[in-house]
Amino acid sequence: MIKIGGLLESLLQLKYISRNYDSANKTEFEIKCITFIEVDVTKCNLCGECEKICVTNSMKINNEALEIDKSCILCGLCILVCPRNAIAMKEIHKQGRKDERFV
Amino acid sequence: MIKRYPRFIYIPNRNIVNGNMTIEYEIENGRILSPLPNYDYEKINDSCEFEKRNWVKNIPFVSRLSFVENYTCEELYSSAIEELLKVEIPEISKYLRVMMLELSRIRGFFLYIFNISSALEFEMPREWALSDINRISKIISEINNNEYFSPYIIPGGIKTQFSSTNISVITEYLEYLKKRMKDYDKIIFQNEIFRLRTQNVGVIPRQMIEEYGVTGFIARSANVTFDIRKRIPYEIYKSIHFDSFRYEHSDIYTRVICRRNEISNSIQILDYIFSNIPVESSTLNKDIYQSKARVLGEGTVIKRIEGINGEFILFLESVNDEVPKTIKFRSPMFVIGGELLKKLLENTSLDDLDLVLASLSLVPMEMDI
Amino acid sequence: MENNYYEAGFLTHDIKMVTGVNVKYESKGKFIIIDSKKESLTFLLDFLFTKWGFNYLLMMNCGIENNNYIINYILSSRKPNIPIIIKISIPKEIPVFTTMGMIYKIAYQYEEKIYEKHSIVFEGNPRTLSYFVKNTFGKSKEND
Repeated sequence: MIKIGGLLESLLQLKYISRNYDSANKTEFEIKCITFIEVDVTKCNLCGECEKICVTNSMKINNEALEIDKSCILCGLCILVCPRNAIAMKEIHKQGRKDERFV
Repeated sequence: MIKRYPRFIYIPNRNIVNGNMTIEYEIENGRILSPLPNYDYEKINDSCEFEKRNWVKNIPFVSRLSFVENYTCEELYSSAIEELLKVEIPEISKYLRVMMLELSRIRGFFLYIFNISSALEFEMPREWALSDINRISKIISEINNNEYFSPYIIPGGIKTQFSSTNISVITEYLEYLKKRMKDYDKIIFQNEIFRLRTQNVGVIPRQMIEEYGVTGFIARSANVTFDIRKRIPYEIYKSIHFDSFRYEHSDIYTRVICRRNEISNSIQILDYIFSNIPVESSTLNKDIYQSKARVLGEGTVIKRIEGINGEFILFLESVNDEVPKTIKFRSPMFVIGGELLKKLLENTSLDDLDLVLASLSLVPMEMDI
Repeated sequence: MENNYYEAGFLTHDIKMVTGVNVKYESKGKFIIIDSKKESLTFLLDFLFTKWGFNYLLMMNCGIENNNYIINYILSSRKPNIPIIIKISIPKEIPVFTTMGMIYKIAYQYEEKIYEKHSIVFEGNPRTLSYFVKNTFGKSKEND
């Protein structure tokens, strides 16, 4: 179990981390908090503004439904651009670590 | 019905610039001759080309230009776009922008102390500075909704809502900071060894500062008073009063003391903000992001801001389109890291090389923004 | 040298009277834009530096428009507090110009960046030598 702590952790603010399983080096990371994008399907009318503005081209409208890829960087531009406020960003926190101390 | 995407995602793209900085030099009798700094970096995937994208799409790239001064870049870009669109932002967001800039200035100060104390090999203040960096980074990220690299200052105001719990957290931190600075005074700034090692070392003559146009704390330590927050005030700096200090000549000792004294300025500004902040619900003018209202007017804008290490400049031209015609940033590192560095390092002794480089607070990734 | 004329009106009048017909100007409230010819740039910058105290070169930028390179020089001073933008156009077929490094020392660095990006040669700047000349200077390997 590898923990990234100290300066790196505070500067990078690692919240959500992918699980990369290498066959040679099995490394596991600890997840502190998960952020995700929430789409209210009742409000969304598939106007396509979010698809045009997406920086990483991760928002796609397929078969009359909006889908978001893993390549999303959570910049939040789609939330600003949506005319019906159908998109929101929310998070789930893990409990804080008990061995956190400041000098 | 509500859908959620994505559940596990990769670490977001952080840096656009990637590379190494090297300095090559010759040694003779323990002195350095003919130093050559080399900023051998490369830009990935043309992502720095602002002139090919919509002004809305450029926002996450602007905040990733610099690791240390991300909020100054965002502030520059947002205020320039607002001037071209001719919109006004809510009053509370001006206070919050200044608050964020001053908090990042405090963070930059502790990074500076970390570098100086590791160059001097003072172990104890180095650990203290590291923990202070962690502490203030946590506060900044809590205000920014736990997203370190997501833009906070955007055209139209501020992206996240501001709650009263944040005020109590920051006021507690300010009281802690005032006590903490007294500890730093005893261990570094009034330390005899520090004074002996840093006085009359790495001197930058006043003539060189005026010739090359150096700004920020380096200019102020040589008695060239130049603070954009006072000369060309932006946001709410017109109504805030903070002290200015006078020094004799710029060596490492006065540069460090100059930065330490400017922390008291930041504390004064933050106290003013929390005693006068208005009560408003919305912090963002969202109308400018609708597709019909996004066209920039015709004109040119020059914006200048007092960054952490000096003066940051933005030059922006637009011709009645969503895509701007020219965008060009300039950081204070461009002035310091070029010819000035070569002349400073010429004929310094090897023992003082670390100290001189640390006292200039170089950020190599800002050399060619 | 201190000047008491803080307003843009006096500045633009002075520039027009001294530098002559070749200079066009636009005053837009917050800064002044000048479209200048290549030949009169050194005189104009020297005049602004010595008489009006524009001793701070903020930025040099290069863009492309209609088969020409357009270089912007942005100057500022403490008094008056108004930046000036000077625009120069260079044809793409002959990308050669002179340095302003004798007036502003930081101009050498800006010109080097423009040379790396657009390969415009600034005569007088040793770092922006043309490719042909660069390869002929240096130590010859015949004597080794």
